[in-house]
Amino acid sequence: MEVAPPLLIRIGRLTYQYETVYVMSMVMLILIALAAFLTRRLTMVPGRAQAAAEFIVETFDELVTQSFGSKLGRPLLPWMGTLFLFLVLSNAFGIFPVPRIQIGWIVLPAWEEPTRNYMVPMTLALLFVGGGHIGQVLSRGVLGYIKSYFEPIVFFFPLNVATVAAEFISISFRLFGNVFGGAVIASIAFNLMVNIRIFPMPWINIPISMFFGLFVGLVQAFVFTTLAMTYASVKIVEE
Amino acid sequence: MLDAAQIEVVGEVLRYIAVALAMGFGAIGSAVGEGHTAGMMLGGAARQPSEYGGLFRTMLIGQAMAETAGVFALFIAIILIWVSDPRTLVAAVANVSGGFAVGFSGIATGIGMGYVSSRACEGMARQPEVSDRMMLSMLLAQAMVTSAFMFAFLVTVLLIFGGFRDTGSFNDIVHCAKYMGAGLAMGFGACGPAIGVGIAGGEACRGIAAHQENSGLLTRMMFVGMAVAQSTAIYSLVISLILLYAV
Repeated sequence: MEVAPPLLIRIGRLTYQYETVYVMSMVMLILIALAAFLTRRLTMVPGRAQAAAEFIVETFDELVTQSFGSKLGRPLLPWMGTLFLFLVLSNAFGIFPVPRIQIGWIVLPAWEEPTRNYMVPMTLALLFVGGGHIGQVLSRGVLGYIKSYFEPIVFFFPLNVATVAAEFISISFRLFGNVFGGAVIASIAFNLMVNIRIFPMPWINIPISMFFGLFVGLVQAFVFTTLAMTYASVKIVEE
Repeated sequence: MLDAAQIEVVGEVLRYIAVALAMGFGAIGSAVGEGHTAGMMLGGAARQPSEYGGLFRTMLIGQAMAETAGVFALFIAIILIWVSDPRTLVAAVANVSGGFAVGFSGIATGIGMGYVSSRACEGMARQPEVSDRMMLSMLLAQAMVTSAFMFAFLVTVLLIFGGFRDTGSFNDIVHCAKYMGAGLAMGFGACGPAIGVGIAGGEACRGIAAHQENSGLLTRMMFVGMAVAQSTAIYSLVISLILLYAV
């Protein structure tokens, strides 16, 4: 069993992991197409597609409003909702059996979960945990932000800094570990079943990746979104 | 240093030790959790004999989830026996460490999962009309308990399939210690979070049975509490990955 090295593209001094970028753009394309499909011809009495879209938006509206209050919640709804939908589809992306395609010199990699590359959870955590910090600066001012590191008393400064680091590490590695672990388990089951030949059952990884992709992936997407909202709302919302 | 034949013998010995660690430890927790679930289900059936069917189904699903740790430990043990072939000392030590990680974290995972499903059985016996909602909460909570175990399983797989080789120098001892450390960190580190997350999930199931109208709020707060309880397992995972690849 070997893991193929990722395809790398170098532009200037930066290295791009072309596989992940490709898979992420596929996720985004599917999401955009779905959104366009579900909301074409909006009517007052919703059809089936529109009802599904309205259900997703309403559920999330309630969640976001509960954490941020009605004034802040509405502007933040598209941001948080997009994060959740993106994560759900990303975590479940391994279940689409699209192989690697090569046409001439163009290589289209196989469809894998983009979140199994640590760069993606790290970027999302930077965006959303960092967004919470920016929101704190905006709502309490720079002095209030600096002062929050010395609360409740001055000696808590190291603890507060450690908390900031811990939030970031735990939220990003939770997503990465779960998705990567599920993908590794599915690929090992697949390899084992093909290699052993006692049980020639290559389809065994379909239920396994369904479990890890759909169920665990959905739970982890929800946990990531809820945690991002909780961290941000604790910082922003004043009691 | 040892010569090739001696290393082969030591590798065999270490491999069987790894099998024993994985399966022996891994069998403990699942059994305790499943027994606890069955006990609570029997208590519930004594209280509500008419709800026997639903309780029995919940017990079976909960026990199947609690079995996960045992099944994965068995899986690792079979891989260690038949598939893995440590020709080098470093690889053999990595196998032992991987077996320990999956086995020891399995103890807590089985207990945590069993706690969730036993509380779900108890709550369902108390409030038979919440059974669908209760099943969903139980599965969500158990999926969260699994994730600490999944980190341990990931580290185990990386240790076993890492393809570690001897360099032939005295540095091999350092590498052995490094891989041993990765397995120990993850095996111990996943233990507490699994039980803690299981307690949070179990009490959430009990709360949903008592106050059905608050189930949305309870589920959301359950996820936040679990995520915080779980973060120490994530620190262990980070340290294990650093030990494996970055040092």
